[in-house]
Formats: sequence, structure tokens, C-alpha cells
Amino acid sequence: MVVGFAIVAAWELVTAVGVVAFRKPMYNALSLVANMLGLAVLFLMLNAQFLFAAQIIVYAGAVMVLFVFIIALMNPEADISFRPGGTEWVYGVVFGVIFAALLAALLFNRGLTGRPGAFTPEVIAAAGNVQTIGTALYTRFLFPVEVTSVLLLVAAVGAVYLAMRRIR
Amino acid sequence: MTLDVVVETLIKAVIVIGALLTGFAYLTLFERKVQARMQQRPGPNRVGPWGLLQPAADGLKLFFKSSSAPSSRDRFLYLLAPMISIMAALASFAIIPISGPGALNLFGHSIGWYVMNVNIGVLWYFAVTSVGVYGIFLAGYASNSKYSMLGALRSSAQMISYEMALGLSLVPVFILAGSVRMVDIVNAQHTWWFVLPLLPAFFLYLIAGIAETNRAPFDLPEAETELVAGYHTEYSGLRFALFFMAEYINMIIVSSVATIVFLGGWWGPFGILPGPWWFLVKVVALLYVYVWLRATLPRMRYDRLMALSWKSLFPLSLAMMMVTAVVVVAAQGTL
Repeated sequence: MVVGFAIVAAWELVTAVGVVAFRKPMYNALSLVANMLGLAVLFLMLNAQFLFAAQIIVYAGAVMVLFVFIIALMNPEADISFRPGGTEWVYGVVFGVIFAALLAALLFNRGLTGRPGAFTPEVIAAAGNVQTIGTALYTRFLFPVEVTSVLLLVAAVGAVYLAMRRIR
Repeated sequence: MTLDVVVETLIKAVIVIGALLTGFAYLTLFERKVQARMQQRPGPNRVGPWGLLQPAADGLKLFFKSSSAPSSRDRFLYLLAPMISIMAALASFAIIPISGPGALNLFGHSIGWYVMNVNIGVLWYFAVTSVGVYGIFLAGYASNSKYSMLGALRSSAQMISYEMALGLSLVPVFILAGSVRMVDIVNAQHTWWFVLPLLPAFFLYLIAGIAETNRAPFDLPEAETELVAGYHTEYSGLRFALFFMAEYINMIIVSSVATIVFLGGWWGPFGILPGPWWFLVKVVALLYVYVWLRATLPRMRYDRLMALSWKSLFPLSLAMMMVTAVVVVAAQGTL
């Protein structure tokens, strides 16, 4: 298990560096896809099979395909120029430090291994992984689920409106 | 995860891959023979008796062909794309149980009739096919050619659109079976196959499945008259063969999933055949429908194809899902 985690963690680091290090936008996007696939494997190792499938279907299979589409169609390579005297790196450093501080605070408060919750592997195995998540989402977390669905509906209606206006 | 489980899974994977590749080879012959019959001509009949060695001849020819490639290609992605396609196609068969119930007893081990029996079941199939889209899209992008790019755009848009309808058309089955695990779904059909109560869902799945595998009458990605050969225009030799294999193996997988979720998997009436044979018969019958449609129907126009998915199949699948849910709850007496 530890060896497996080490391999996946190394994969995650390499692909995450790839997202920012490649010069071709298509390779940046594909690194992100590879990163998300690795994340899905991490979910799998944490006994969250449903999240594994959802992560691949939604993020790697749907969201990132649209990114890749847009990169292939727009060809942003020509628009990107790396100016040597630019100030973009300041933002990178500031937000990088803030994010690292957040992660460090979490690590010191909670420790590396976390605490066992109500859903132990035995409980999940008895009810079934999909069934457990489904029950939780549609009983205890019903309100957030419904609010999110309304949010997505608003986004879809907005997208249709914007597309219609351009045609007129 | 002990060593013998790993070894068992590896052996099963090798057997399944071998069977799928053989299935692919003879599916091409099956398609040519059936089409020839429908068009009143003999079809391939020179290599071996009834042309039975034709797939081997085709394979050898592709193997010895020199692979040409466009010089302005993206070298890495051009090589990666066919690999993604074939890996996605082969990996999705891992969840298909070809027989049951129970397990096979060999050498004192009890061996299940599947490569893996995962909790997420059908979701594994959707996850793997959604990665398969990258194979097609990257092939078009990396070839750096207009025909390839247009074909890739078309087919990925088509696959993403029909994946929605494909997934939703299976939800009524999950509601009835109360599980997404393949083995549970088949066992729930011991008395009645789900195709009887869920006939509309079966047809929705079949239409979406044909579009998902980019087959006629939805074979717009490779509409020869306008796009040469679509996303694999710039591929030749064995690299082309990988895309070809992926397409035919995907046909086998869509038929296998339909057999499992709608046609009762290994269950057959009167117990006249053992389980794996029933499975095979049903899959071949569905593959025949594929070939039949290709020989019969003209290709659809692209905007019609997208309209069919978003304006017909998608709402119909949603309606089917709601009706099933209401009926199941009403039957349980909790409404």
C-alpha cells in the first residue's frame, strides 16, 4: 500500500509540474488530465470507488475534454509570449505561500493519517459503496445537493442565453 | 491482495484480451459476410474455406505495411493516441461476467467468471469510455491535418453527447436491480429479463450505443465522402489497425453490456445451453443488428445527429428514469 501510494504521489507531483512547465498549451492540459487520473487512483486506494469513477467521468472525461477542445480550436500558442521582465511571478509567489501555509496548518492540526470516521471499510462494504454515498447525498446532504443543482441549471441557462445573443 | 489473486487476475486478463482480439478479427469477417449476403454477392471466399482465413491475411497485410506519417505531426501525441484508444477498449471488458451464478472450480481454486467484480460496476465502463475519447481527439489533433481535425471534433462531440443518453438509459435498470454491480444486475433477471419491462430504455441504449461506437448510420467521424477517413486519415499500417481494433472491440463491449443489463446475461430459457453459450449467442445477435443497420441505413446529417441526442434521446431517457422510479416506489407501497 505504501509503495503504491509513493508511486501515485510521484506521478501526481510530476504531472502537476507538467501543468505549469510545458510550453505547449495542449501538453499543459493533458498533464492536468494525467493528474486527475492519478487523483482518481488515490481515491481508489482510499476505498472510495464511486469517487474514483465520478472523478474520471466528470473531470477527466467531460470537463478536461472541453479544455482540450478549446485549446485545439483556438490555438493559443501564438498569443502567449513569455516576457522576461513580467510581474506575473509575484502573484505566483504570494498565492503559493498562502496555499502552502493553509496546507501546513491542516497538517499540524490534523496530522498525516487523519481520524477514523463513522464510515469504516466494513460499514461501506456491508451497504455498498455507491449505496452509501447515495444515501448520504439524498438524506443528510439533500439541501446542498439541490442548491448545487439549481446553480448548475442557472449556469446552463446563462450559457444558452449568451449563445443566443451572439446569433442575433 | 495476495499473490494468487494477482496471478489469477493476470491470467484472466490475458485470456480476455486474446478472446477480444480473436473476436475482433472474426467480427470483421462476420460483417463482410453478412453484408455481402444482404447485397447478394459472395463476399470474401478465396482465403481458406468460406474465407475463414481472411482475417489472418488482413492482419498480415497490415503488419507488413510500411507506416507513413505526416512530417508536421506532434510526434508524442501521434503515437499515444492509438494506444489510448485500444487500452480503453480492452479495459472496459474487465467488468463483464460471462457466466454464473457462482464460480468455476479449477485446480482447487474457485474462479469467478469475470476479471473483476467491482462495486461500481457499470460506472467503470463509463469511466473507461470517457477516457477513450482522448484517443480519437488526440489522433485528429496530432495528425495536423484538416480532415483529421474535423473528424476528431465531430466524433468527440458525438461521443460526449451520446454518453449522456447512454448512461441515463441504464439508470432504470439500476433502479430495478437495486445495484450497479454487474453480477447483481444479471441475478435480478433470473425470472424476467429487463428488456421486457424496460423496452424503451433498451432501444435508447442501443441507439446511443451505436452512436457511441461511431458506427453506421452514425459514422460521421469517418464520413468517407466528405472527410476521407476522419480522425485516422493520417494513420496507416499497424497504428491504423489499433484504431480499427478499438472500434470493433467497442462494438463487442456495447453488445456485451446490453446483454448483461437488458437480456439477462447468462440466463436462458429451459436451461438448454450452459451460461457462457447463452452470453455468446446474445452478443452475436446484437452484433448482427449492428451489421444489419450498416447495410441498410444511410448516414445521418451531422446537425440531425446532435439534435437526435440532445432533443430526443436525452429527454426520453430522463422521462424513462422518472417513470421507472415512480412505478417502483408505487409498487413498494411507499407512495
